[in-house]
Amino acid sequence: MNEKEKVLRQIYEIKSHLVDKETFFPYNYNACHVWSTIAVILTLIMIPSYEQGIWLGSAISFVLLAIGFLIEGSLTKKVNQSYDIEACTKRQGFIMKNFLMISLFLLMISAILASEHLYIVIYLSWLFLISLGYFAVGFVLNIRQFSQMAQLNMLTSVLLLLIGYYFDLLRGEDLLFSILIQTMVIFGLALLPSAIAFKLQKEERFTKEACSV
Amino acid sequence: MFDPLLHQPVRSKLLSLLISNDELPFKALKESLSVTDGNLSSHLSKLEKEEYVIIEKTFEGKRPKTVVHISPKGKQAFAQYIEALKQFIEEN
Repeated sequence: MNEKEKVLRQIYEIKSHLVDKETFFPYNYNACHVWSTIAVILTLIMIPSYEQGIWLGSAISFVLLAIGFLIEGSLTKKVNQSYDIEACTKRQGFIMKNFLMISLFLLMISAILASEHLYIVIYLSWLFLISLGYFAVGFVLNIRQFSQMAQLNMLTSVLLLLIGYYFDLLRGEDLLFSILIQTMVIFGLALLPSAIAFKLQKEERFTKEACSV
Repeated sequence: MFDPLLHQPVRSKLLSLLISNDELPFKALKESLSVTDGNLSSHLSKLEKEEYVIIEKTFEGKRPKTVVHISPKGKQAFAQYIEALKQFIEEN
């Protein structure tokens, strides 16, 4: 290898860490599957529970989110311990706070929207804002799949909001439109993230096996 | 022309990791760089000798724990090394 090739390789290695953010990020992608399960449950029970009462709906959503954060926290703690990391890394902290803030806002806005019976707007707010969180994660960790998924979800939610507003369907009285919205939320916040997590887990296993050879 | 200590793939990658994470435990560095304990120790002791990194050895209960930080001198040397790489590319 001549000197120029060596220099170019060094630049490539350094760039991949400093610019492309290909950096150390311990994460247990099983947390994504937990969140997907929670997304499905929430999508199916959120509106019936809000119909029973705003406080009940809020309490159920809060409990499910709290379970998600607790499981994610314990999975992250475990994976960090395997690397001798006591507290969370800066990136883990950023992602946790990002989703925590979004969730708190969603809980409040959902209660307000439920009191106005704007159930479709609740679903679309969750789809849009959680995807915004994924968009930030995709950017910070340079995971293109998360960024693309987030953009698709956000565009879908804007489009569905426009259709719902134009045809006066935002109260969820049209069964077909409600089913379409629920399907899109389950697809965007459960199926897609899980599929991406599976792919990333597979890549992680492959890299580990390749490194151990 | 190039800092011989940094003009080496593992050590330049190691400093890049420390620059973007401030500090990392030995285990995390080993995993990220895909090197053996002995190999990493050897690279770290060379960097420590030149005061590019600070190695902190503590005990967590009865378990020893090693955390590596980048020093201000290490940061400066790394910046100079990047400049030298840039200059080389411009001239060739």
